[in-house]
Amino acid sequence: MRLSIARGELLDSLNVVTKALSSRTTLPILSGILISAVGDSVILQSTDLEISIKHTIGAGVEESGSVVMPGRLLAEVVRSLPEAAVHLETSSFDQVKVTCGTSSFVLRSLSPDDFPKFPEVSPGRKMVIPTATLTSLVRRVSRAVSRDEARPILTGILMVIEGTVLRVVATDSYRLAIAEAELPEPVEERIEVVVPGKALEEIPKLAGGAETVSMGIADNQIIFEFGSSVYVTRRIEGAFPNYRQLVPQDGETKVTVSRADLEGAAKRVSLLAQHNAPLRVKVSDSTLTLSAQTQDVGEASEDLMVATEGEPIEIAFNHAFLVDGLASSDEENLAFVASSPLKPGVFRSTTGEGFTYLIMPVRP
Amino acid sequence: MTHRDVWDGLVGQDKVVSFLRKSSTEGTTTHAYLFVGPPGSGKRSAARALACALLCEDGGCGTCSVCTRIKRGSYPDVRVYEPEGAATYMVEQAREIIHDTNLSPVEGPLKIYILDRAEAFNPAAANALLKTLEEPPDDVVLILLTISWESVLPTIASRCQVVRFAPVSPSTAVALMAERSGVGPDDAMAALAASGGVIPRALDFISSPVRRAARGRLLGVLRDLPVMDGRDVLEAARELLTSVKAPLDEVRVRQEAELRERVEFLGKTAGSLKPIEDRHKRELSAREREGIGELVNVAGSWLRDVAATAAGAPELVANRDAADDIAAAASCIGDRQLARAANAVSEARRRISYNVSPQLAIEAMLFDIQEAITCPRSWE
Repeated sequence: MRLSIARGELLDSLNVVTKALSSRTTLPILSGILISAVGDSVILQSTDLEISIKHTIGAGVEESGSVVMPGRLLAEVVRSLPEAAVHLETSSFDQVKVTCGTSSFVLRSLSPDDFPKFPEVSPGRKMVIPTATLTSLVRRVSRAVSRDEARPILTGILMVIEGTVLRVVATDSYRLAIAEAELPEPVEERIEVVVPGKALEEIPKLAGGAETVSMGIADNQIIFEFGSSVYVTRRIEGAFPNYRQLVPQDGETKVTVSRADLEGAAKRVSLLAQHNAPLRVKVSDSTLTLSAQTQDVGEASEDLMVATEGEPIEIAFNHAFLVDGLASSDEENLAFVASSPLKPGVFRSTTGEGFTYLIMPVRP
Repeated sequence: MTHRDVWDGLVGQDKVVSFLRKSSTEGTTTHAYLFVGPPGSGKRSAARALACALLCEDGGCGTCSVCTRIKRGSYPDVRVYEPEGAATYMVEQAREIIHDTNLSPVEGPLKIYILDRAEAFNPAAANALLKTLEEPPDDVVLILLTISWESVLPTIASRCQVVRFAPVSPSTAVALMAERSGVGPDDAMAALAASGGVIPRALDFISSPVRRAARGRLLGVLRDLPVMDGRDVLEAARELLTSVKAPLDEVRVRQEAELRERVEFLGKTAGSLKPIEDRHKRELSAREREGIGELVNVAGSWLRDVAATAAGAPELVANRDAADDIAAAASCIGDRQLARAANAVSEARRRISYNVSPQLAIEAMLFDIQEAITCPRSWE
């Protein structure tokens, strides 16, 4: 293998593929990047057996071939090089020579045959999502994704596509977040798929430059394509909880409140909700009162002027979950709906943003 | 069986093979198996063969890309785990397995997990795994391997279908070793006796001069035991321990090479050396235990040889190179004394499994054997 490539382009693509490098110690090959030179382009590939990233860049290929190079070391070498053409050349069966200007490195390489490639799957169903849409959807639900492996299905984000509506749902069984957006083109069949939360959260970071992300669904994998990158993740198996029956349609009490004001107040009052002390929400007439009290530490409360409908109520939440929900949205106003101190409270967007955040109450 | 397939490599396990072959072709495999069989009975090969049979399109042809990659250990949906702790599985390993079972397979229709030494599940790691073991996702097959059903936690054993492997007869094992590496029958017998009958470990043993030397030293000590005084015995135990640690240098050299390779490949900045060093440390202490285990095996087989010779069956002697000493010992040691000495050996094995300091365990074993074979009256 012999090729030349611009240092900046190489570094950019290394930055993309190093995201999937594994820290697993049992398989050293997973800390490597598979570099294949074909025609007039170079394909970089990495995997940790859960996700796999492939990135294609144009390069001057003098001799095609492939090799596995140490991922992080190569990225560091390239980062330290001056802005010029970088030449890669296999010098013996397990060595690659990297030269740029007057500097030259010889790096060890591993056999490309041992590299565990993700199979090339042709997704049965495919759709195009604007990157900005995907980014905002993921941002709105990602805090509710469970980090607890005890219920693996909850570490994923459910994506539902019906017609032109893309809905994402995440829950850790204490709260549930739903966000919706319109797709530019309708999808014929209804699609439901659970994507590992960590994998889906990476995509907006990687696809920042691309305008759209194409998402393909295969039997075992989900394939995201953006720009010249392909990102493959394994699906999480199992049935996602039926979120629809969890969300109450109506409530006794309905409050419309400025999101930013409530978030600010909740953050302030949270300071005195230590050691899992509850954050109490009291709604009466046209006031919403947040209060918290920690024994031997002190107490805090704050009143907000709001528009209320229905019965007065007093309900308590975990302060972190409440702040998370409020911080996930970009809306100006949110509707807060509750019907009893023992039933979940719901925050809903008041315009068409399609954001719902359900939160289980705690003992006041 | 006209065509060759993956099951052909399994020697002397016709029952197991026909059962597994039948359930894999008829699609009646269950989600969790516990392969129980003495060391060297081919559990590992059977587990891989079952994986091939379930994943290969031809039901385990043994030659296609899937089968060869499973055998090489590079097929992404067949994972082999063994305890990474000094003696037990770690909870993190159990969590890793659980996490992976819930993802869809990478390539094939199924995910297969082979868990070696299932007796090494401590309650914490086992508890983490129980739910998965009982009700894994539909496309998961867990194959646990162990030497004895009793040593596996009942919570684990009761959740698996048990498949029992027959012990491989010594003659078959010796023939297999001769076929694989061309060792003579005497060397093969001795190595099998030292390694507890595990063929791969016996082959390993033969290729390590230091480990063979440790065995020779112990045979010498056993011969001289009746005429040694207390100081000599302690001295001998210390020497034996040192000779057990000598093969560790081989391991250390290999580990250093691996570490060096990693540093070359990853660079110092990778920050991933710590886990390797930890794994190396655990491997070292596991190997040290294995070396001690070998000593105990050799002592046990020597006593068995003496008993066999005394009973008039010298053809059963495993340590042929020490046959003369064994015959001499057989002429002056009685049955009861031998039985007591054998008890000392199993006691040593038990103590070591309870983490008694190896030196202490070996010293106690040598003293007990000495007492047993020199003071017949104290027993009667």
